Parts: sequence; structure tokens; C-alpha cells
Amino acid sequence: MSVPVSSHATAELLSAYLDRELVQPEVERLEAHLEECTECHGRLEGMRKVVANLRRIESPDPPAELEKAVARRIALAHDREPMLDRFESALSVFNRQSTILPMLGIIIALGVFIYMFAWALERDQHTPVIWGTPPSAEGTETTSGDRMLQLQGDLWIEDGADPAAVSRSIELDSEPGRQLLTDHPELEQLPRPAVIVLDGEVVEIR
Amino acid sequence: MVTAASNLSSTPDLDLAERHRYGDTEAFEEVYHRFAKMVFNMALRMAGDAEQAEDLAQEIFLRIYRHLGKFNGRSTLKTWIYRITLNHCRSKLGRRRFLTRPLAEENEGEGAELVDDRRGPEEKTLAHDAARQLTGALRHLKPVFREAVVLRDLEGLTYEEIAEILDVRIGTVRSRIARGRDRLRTILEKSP
Repeated sequence: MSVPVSSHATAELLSAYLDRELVQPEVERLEAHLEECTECHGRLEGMRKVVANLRRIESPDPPAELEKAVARRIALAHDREPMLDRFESALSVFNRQSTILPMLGIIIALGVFIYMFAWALERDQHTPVIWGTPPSAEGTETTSGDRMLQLQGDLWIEDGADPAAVSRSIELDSEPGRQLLTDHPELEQLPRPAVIVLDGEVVEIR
Repeated sequence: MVTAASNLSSTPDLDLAERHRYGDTEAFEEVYHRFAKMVFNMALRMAGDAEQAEDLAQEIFLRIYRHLGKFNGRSTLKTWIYRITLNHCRSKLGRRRFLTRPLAEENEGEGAELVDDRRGPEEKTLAHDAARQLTGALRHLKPVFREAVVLRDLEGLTYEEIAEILDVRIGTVRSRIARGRDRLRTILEKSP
């Protein structure tokens, strides 16, 4: 820190001068400046007075009851510490094991998923479900094994089978029907009633 | 608490910490008796109110009690306790806690609240009115300047000790002390 003759000394320089924190060349330059500059000299004296008066302020003793109050606080803290320690150690689990929070998230997500699934299932039980093709779906096509069938009225007709040429009608639940199923088990999957070509013969399966 | 300071005053700081860690209650008692006046006065200068300073001092000593066992001796116990004191005052009082109205508008003797007038008013011991005025003027300083001026001119610490306590460079300490003193000079010159 140095003092150009043409400018005033900074507060920092004056303060450091009072504390004897300047090196000798700085002291000499500042003192030379102070002899010429009454304004800086006045500021220095003002600051010197402030410092001197600050150092005159005495420090009072702490209140007599402070010691007992501190002892009470410490005793109180001791009583509370076991509880606080338990609380802190419980919290520290989250700090120490960073996998806990993601796991907790997964568990919550899983719980929500199960709840939603159960809710959907419950809802389905109360909603009328239409299995199969609605009666109005005239012309709907389906397959059963190799057979291509089309719904006409309430009758499924295999592609190439002429309903007018039906030679016989077979109930799958009857004895001949069960016998037929032993030779043609795929017929069990057939939508019924249906007109199909079976071994070159046009039959109606019910 | 029983005073144990008389025969333990030469105990090194680290020994005190270690004894406290191992449950020697006399170690904390010695710390209390060595530093109670320092902590109380620092709190008093920062809070500007004896009652609040007493509350702060209680809390500060509770913190010291809890952390004394962790004191590692990298600084002296004195600077360590100063640091705890200042940090606690800052957190409780806020960084921007200072008065902005002119000193002349304050009540007569309000500045003297900086000393404990319940037990022995500072007026009894102050040699000059100017010193009493200064305690009031201190409250008009921003906390960063007040801290530096109090540590230097009231507590008598060196620039190096203040730098360690405030965790700033010595150049910053020098600047804060200067600005604080200059501001006090201006306030007092303007006051009647």
C-alpha cells in the first residue's frame, strides 16, 4: 500500500497505520503525506479516537445465573438425546443406503399396479361381457383349423359348402357326435351351428 | 458446576477435548470458566441486548458441549470457540441485522444496553461518554464490519486470529476493520 502525494490516504491505510501493520517505507510515505494533508490528518485523528474509545469499553462478567442455565440445558439435552439419537439413526438409514429410496419407489409402484389390476378385474365382473360374435355380425368370417367359415344368419357356413346340400345334422353332444369327435377332434373348436364339408359330405354340426 | 479452572488452567486444549470425550465433566467446566466471559461479551456485542446475549450464550455452550469431543486441535480452542460463537450469532440474528436510523434518534443510553446493566451497569466503569456512544454506534455497523471491529478493538485479537475465525484472508480482515472504524468515525462525527 502506498500513498500518492496528490491523493488522500484510504481508510484501510490509516487503519493499518494505527495497528502498526504497515512496513517502514509505507509508514514514511504516509507520515510525509499527513504533514501536508490536513484532511487525512483529521481523519486519522478521528479514527484514532474511535479505536481508543472502543478499547476503553469494559467487558462485563456474564450473569451469575448463566452457569446454572447452561448446566440445565445440558442436562435437558442429555434426557432428550436417547430419543433424538434413535430418530437420527432412523433417518441416517436413508442417508447411508442410497438403494432404499429406489426400492421404496418400486414397492409403491408395484402396489399401485396391483391395486389397478384388482380394480379392473372387479370392474369387469360387473360389466356384461359378450363372448363370441354378436348376432348382428352378418358376414363375419372366422377360421377353425383349416376351415374358413362365414356367418350367414345364425349359421356358420364353410367356404365351398352348400347349405341346401346338407345330407344330415349331427349333435356333437349326442352319441354319434361323440363318435365323430374321436375321428375329428378339431370339430370341438368349431363355431356352431355350422355347415361343413366332412369327408366329401355336407353336414350340419350342432 | 464446580470450578476446576484453578488447577487445570495450563491443560492443553487437546487434552481438554479428550477428557471431555471420555466423560470427564471437569473438562467442560474448565472450558466454561475460561471462555464464559468471552462468549457472553461477543454475543452481547452482536445482539446488542443483554437478555438475548444470555440466551445466545446458553445455546453456544450447549453446542460447545456437544462438539468439544470432536475438537481436533487444528486451531486453538479460543479461535474454535470464537468461530462457534460467531456462527451461532449469525444464524440466530441474521446477517443483515443492524440499525439504519440515525444515532441521535435512539433513546438516551440505548447504546449502553450492550453491557449487562442488570448486574453492574457499564456507566459505572466507562471512563468517557464517547465510549458509551460507541457501543450504540456499533449497532449501526453491518455485521461483517461489526464482527471485525469487535474482534480487533474490543477482544484485542490479531489480524491472523481474526482471519482464522472469520475464515477470510488477512487483506479482507484489514479492509473490514478499516471500513468499520471509518464508519464509526463518521457516525460519531454526525451525532450531536
